[in-house]
Amino acid sequence: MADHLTPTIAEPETTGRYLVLLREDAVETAVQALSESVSLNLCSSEIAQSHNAVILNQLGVAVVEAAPEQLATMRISAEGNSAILAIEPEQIVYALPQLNLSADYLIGYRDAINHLVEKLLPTQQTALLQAIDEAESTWGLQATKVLNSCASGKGIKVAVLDTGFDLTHPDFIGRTVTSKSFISGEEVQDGNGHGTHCIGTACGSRRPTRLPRYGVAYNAEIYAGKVLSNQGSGSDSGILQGIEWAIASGCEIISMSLGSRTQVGSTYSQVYETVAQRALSRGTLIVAAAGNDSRRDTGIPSPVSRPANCPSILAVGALDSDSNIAYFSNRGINPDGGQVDIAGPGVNVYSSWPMPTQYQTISGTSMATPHVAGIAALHAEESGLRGQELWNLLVKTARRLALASEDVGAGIVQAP
Amino acid sequence: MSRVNVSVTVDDAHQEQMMEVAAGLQAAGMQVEQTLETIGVITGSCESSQISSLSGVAGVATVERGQEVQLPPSDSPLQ
Repeated sequence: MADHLTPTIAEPETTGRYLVLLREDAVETAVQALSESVSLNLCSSEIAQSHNAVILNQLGVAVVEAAPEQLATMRISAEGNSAILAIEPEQIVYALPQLNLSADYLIGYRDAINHLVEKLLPTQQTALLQAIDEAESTWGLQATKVLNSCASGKGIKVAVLDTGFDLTHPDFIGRTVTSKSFISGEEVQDGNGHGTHCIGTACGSRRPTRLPRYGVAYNAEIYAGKVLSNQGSGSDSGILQGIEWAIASGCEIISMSLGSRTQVGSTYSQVYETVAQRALSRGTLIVAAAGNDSRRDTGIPSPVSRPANCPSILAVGALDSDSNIAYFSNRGINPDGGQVDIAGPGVNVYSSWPMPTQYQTISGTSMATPHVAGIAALHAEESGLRGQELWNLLVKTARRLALASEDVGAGIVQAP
Repeated sequence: MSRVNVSVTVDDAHQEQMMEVAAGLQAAGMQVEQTLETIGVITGSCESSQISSLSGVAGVATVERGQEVQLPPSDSPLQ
């Protein structure tokens, strides 16, 4: 009984002729052998043609019409150290179908598709917005699979070098917080908000006083280094002191949502690069914001900021909740290390803010960076890896996106 | 003459002799503020004309002018 479920595989159509591969250095001998077995009447020319054979001298191939018994003789001639190397049936091939459509037809088709897209798009966007439910947790924690992770950052020290921290914030009561100010005349207490927001994302509570949950590494030890003033300004000297403090304290991760604009064609800082290499060799990974100088809505992407443009600092770009690159997120334009390495949630990010405001929703690569830092803490806890190996793991486990790697590097960071 | 902030990296071979390198930098005109031994960096200030002479001090790998960073105003929606 025929098995009607077996798919039929179409045999290639053949012409009844055969392709005979002739040895390159013995074409004449081969043609002679062929003539004897198939009784060809050949003349020698570039493309010699008789009624039943074509010899392609340059290619060393003969196309021969042969009956089955002649084929058998040819096969015998092909055995051993013969001038005939191979014989196979000639197949029928067809040109790929070409569309022969008029310009009017194509323009009409395009207009119809554009019309359809315009009609459907608002509905789709509404559907996407409704699909992100932030009642329990922020979209950023959902998109990075933090909610599904068993890791919590326990035993990992995360330094956030920023504007300090609101040490009175109710969501952090009972947490181990070590802090130090590198701004003369200012305490660690955050008079800006930026630092409290970043620490909230990287290390915020699993159960904040008010939902949604917004923090990644809820059991990590927090190191709040104030290297930016309450006015948001800082200097290399203070930032380098903060890095020194964090490494000397044994922090596995340093999160830096700071930087300054670079020009197209400019190179990275040798000082920060050397420091970042020394940090990696001591098991400390430095993560920094790629910067917000781009204005993609007007077609202007800007290069990655200093110091995120150092080859040994993990540069973070910003994504929105539809996994699109944020309009402000900088691009890997400059050579030697100025690329974006990874991307994180950075548009409409909800996190902690100094009291009494308590919570705030803002955007920036500053917000994407602590997502990566917090997730790095989860991977550090789960894998035991540090420094460059931890970097490699973050890149390896990132989810690839249908976006340019100059914008998002390896893709969106993912929790273990 | 203008005063500039500088960051100096000490080469790997001199990371154990940071104090000697700092003394050399001071002798070359730098006012040393911080000696950061873990990362091998010395920060401070000097006259802009003295930067090149700091590069010649034994144990110095690189000398860079310090830069400032500035966040947007804290009420900006873009950070």
